[in-house]
Amino acid sequence: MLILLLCLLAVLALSPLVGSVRIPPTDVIGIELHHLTGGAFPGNPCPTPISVAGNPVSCSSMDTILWDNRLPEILLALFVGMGLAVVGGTMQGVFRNPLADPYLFGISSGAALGAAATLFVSQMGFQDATLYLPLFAFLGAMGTGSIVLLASRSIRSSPETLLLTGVAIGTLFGGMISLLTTLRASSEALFITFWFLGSFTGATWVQVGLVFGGVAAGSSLLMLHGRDLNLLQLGDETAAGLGADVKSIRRRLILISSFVTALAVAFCGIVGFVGLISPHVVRRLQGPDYRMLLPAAALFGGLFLVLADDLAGSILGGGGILPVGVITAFVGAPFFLWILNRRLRGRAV
Amino acid sequence: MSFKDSTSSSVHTIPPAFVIVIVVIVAALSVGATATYYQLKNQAPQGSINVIDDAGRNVSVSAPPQRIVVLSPSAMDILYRLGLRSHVVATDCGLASYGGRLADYTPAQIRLWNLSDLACITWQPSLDIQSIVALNPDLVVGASGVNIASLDTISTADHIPSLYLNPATLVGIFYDVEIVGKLTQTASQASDIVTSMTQSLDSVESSLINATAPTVLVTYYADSSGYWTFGAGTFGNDMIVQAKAVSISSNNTLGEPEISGSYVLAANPDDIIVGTGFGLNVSAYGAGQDWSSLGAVQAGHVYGIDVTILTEPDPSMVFGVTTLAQLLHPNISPS
Repeated sequence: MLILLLCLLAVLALSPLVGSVRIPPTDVIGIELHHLTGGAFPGNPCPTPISVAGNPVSCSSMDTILWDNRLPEILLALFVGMGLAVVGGTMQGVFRNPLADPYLFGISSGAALGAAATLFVSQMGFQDATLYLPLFAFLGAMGTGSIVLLASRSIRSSPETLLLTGVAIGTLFGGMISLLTTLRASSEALFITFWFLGSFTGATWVQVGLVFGGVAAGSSLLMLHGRDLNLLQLGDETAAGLGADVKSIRRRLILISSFVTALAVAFCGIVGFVGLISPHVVRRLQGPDYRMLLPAAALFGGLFLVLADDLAGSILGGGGILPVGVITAFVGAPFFLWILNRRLRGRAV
Repeated sequence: MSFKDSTSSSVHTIPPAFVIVIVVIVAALSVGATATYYQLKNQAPQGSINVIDDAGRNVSVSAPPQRIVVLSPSAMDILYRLGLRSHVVATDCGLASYGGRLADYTPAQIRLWNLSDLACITWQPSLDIQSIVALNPDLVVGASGVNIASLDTISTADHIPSLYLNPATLVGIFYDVEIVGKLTQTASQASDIVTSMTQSLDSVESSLINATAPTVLVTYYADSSGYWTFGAGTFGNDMIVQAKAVSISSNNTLGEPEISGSYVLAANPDDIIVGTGFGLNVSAYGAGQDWSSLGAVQAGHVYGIDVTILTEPDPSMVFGVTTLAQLLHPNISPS
């Protein structure tokens, strides 16, 4: 875990150097120290002048780019990655299924449906549709998780039941999303399509604060259940025999996981595979004990998503920014196939 | 592996209601924080020049902008006509793989507005906010397709005023010219442009007062599944009405519907107007569904028009109504 922490700190130190505008390390350090000291910094915060497309970039502009744009983007990616990784590990433990991830119950479809619904907000009398997008996405995601839980209460709430209920609801919401985007102008539908792919561009300190608070609270609660997750790996009957209220634990963990996932996707869209691969990577390093696995997964998930965001913002060049979900998919999909292959061959994953 | 008896863990005393309370609190904080965030962006300092843009956002500047970043050809058209080309420091561009600036502007527009030496700002899939900030602009003008949330970030986090132009109708274009003129203290020039646009439309109307209205399909893109056109309440339909014609999709409530070849075949329009440019020419529409079976095609009543006139809501579109009318009423020749 120490190695993961050191790697994460190194990535966080280097990520401010990555972006469409190359700010020299000396200026990055100067600007950060200038803000952190809370006042005037001795000397010039931007000792190395730069220019972009022949235009000299002022220190004020560099300060804005770094402090108001780039750092919130990096931190949002960090906290979203941490949250999704912890939820992914939790879901894999709850369902004893290595292919489980945070979007298991169609939560991503619920968030996407909420986001697509904002296309019609202006028609409902609210002028600023983008004000409501994070809120609607959060409510859509949270609502989906709650619906799945409620629907499963009426019948035997086995893991398979929950999974199938989530698949059905996810499919229904997918159809509704297609309908909503069809009914709007192509430019609006295109905006929602790109939101689906996930992006941290435009992150603000307000969003960072909200996500940090929610992810910290939710992830802490999940990590406190590490012992219970270890018990669940022994099977429902054995865990119950050892005194665990299996159904209650499962519902509680699903509810908390839905909350963390909903908060994560509300501000950045659907970022896939982070929750799937992070627990698997750290499990090979840390072992299967969930009391250590979940915190390690949080570190790796944050590291992975910050790196993915750095790559998304620099790989195209010329100011082009890829959706971060494209990067995580290119890495995650082969990994997913590898997991599947090992399961089919009967090997431990 | 050994475990402690989990029933002795204090974790099990956390009730689900506690989790629900946390959810409600965070949701309430989210609403409050984002509402405050956007209220701040709408506050106008005293003595500022204020306008309300097409997204209902309050945009204010303390002085006429001298460094403007433009994120759409329609906004560029307005600024150029107002004599503000020298104040533009950058325009939108597609990705280099899409052709860069040629993905968003025609060669004629690039020549007319002298854009070759301006900085490029990519806006899809995501707006390159950092490159915009690096140019130290005092106004950013975006249009339909640009993410309003990104414009809000530029305004609130980066403290750079941003204006969003997205007129739904021809009348909306008049409003856009006026608010840009107000922000840039070129109200007199803006008034002249509005007057010219009004006179242009009046001239077309008076010329066609006794003309019969043909049925028409106006399309800006076609593929094997159908034709993209304009529905009711759009600037495209407004153009068609002003040019004294009836669109076969005028009753369609979708803003920019794709209609099938079968529908066009059944509607049998007298004329077909197709948008050309950005790699499209009249013959390219031959890939459209049932194209060769359409009566207007067989009669040779297919006419090409610069696609930017159809799809970019700006003064050029308003003046382009004359061109459209001339194509649809060749015997009358509106001036």
